[in-house]
Amino acid sequence: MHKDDLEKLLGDTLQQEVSEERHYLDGLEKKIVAELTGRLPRKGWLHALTRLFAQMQSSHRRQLAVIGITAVIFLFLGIFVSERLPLFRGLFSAYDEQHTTTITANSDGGQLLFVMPAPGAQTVAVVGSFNNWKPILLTDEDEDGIWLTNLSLTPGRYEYAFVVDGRWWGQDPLADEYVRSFGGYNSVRYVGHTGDNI
Amino acid sequence: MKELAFLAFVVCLLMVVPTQNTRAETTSIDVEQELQSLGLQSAAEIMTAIETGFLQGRLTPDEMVSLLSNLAAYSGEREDKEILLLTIARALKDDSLPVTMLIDKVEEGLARKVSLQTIRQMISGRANLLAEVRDLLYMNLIFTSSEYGQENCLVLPLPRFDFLVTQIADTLANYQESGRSPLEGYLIYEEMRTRLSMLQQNAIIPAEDVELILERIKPESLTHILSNVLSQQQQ
Repeated sequence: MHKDDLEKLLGDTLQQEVSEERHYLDGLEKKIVAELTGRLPRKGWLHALTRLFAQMQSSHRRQLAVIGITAVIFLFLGIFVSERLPLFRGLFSAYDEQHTTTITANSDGGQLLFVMPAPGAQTVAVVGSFNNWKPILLTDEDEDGIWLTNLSLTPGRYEYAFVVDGRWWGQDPLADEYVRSFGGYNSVRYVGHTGDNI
Repeated sequence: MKELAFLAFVVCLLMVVPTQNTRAETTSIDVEQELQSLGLQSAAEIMTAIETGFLQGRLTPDEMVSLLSNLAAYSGEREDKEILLLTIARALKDDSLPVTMLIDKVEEGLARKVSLQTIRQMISGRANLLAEVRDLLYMNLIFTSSEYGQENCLVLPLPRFDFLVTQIADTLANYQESGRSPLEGYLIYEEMRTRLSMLQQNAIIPAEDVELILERIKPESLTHILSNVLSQQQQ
């Protein structure tokens, strides 16, 4: 066989084999990329945010997004700081007043511990003359059924009662005395100038 | 980028400033607004009395706003609310009495969801008791003003005088509301002595005030007061 004929035959055969096996190559690139991506460490929210900014064509929209996100970060930072530093405590008072009731503390008064055993209760609160009879919620963090709260009160004589799931309980074993009121009972505690009254 | 950061800072400041404004101090204007929202005919008379209370230091705007807003939110007849407030206002202005005990009882009654008529009856009885106890102290030459100038006359500062009147009246009211007889003068006296001693032990009132009351006020006077109030209530 002539050399040129041999080269032509080899070329044709090779071309035929390639065309026969071509379907194996279809989608191979995508498979490789997918497999490599799966092996790479996952990218976090910061990367997603950066990509989001990069995709934004308009610089105006990008600026607005930066301002919005910075404002949200500052807002959460403000709440965090206001919860922990006495100087800023109450800065978000509008929020606080909706969710909790606060009492003015006085260094001349005393800490008064309120304890109410109420296993299975949904809410336990203390109401009293120290705060215009507005409910102050007790907590049961270890879920042992013993609800408690600690209040700082100015010196004085205070009448109070517990409210367990909406029902009033006026006879606290820790009370100094009890009085009848509106057909029920109120407990009474004295807070002195000496400090701790627990 | 610097301009952007500055702009973000300004936005944050604008978000913080309105929350600071919500902490503004309560004033008599807030009290008047709450009172107007009740739509009472005697609003002017009540407001005048409240302002007198502010001037005397017997009331604070915070406690009045709390009382009025709770009363506004409470279901019941407007007339009952008006009589309730008028009882407190007249005790304060006309009789010059301390009214913290009355306000506290109204707040408690509202919290307990007691009917306004029941609260009215209780407040009226307690206002009478406050006046009787104040007069009893006067009769025993314990005053809060030096204008009398009699021998053995003792003049106490207004907060101390008010506190004694309130504590004695509250003891008598609790005794009466527990359904016991007003004729048991020594029992009533013992209750008063216990209350004053507890207050003294906790350094809430000076020992000299307790000694003064226990020395000058007799059990029969307490019986007399409770009998008077009882007969007023029955009329």
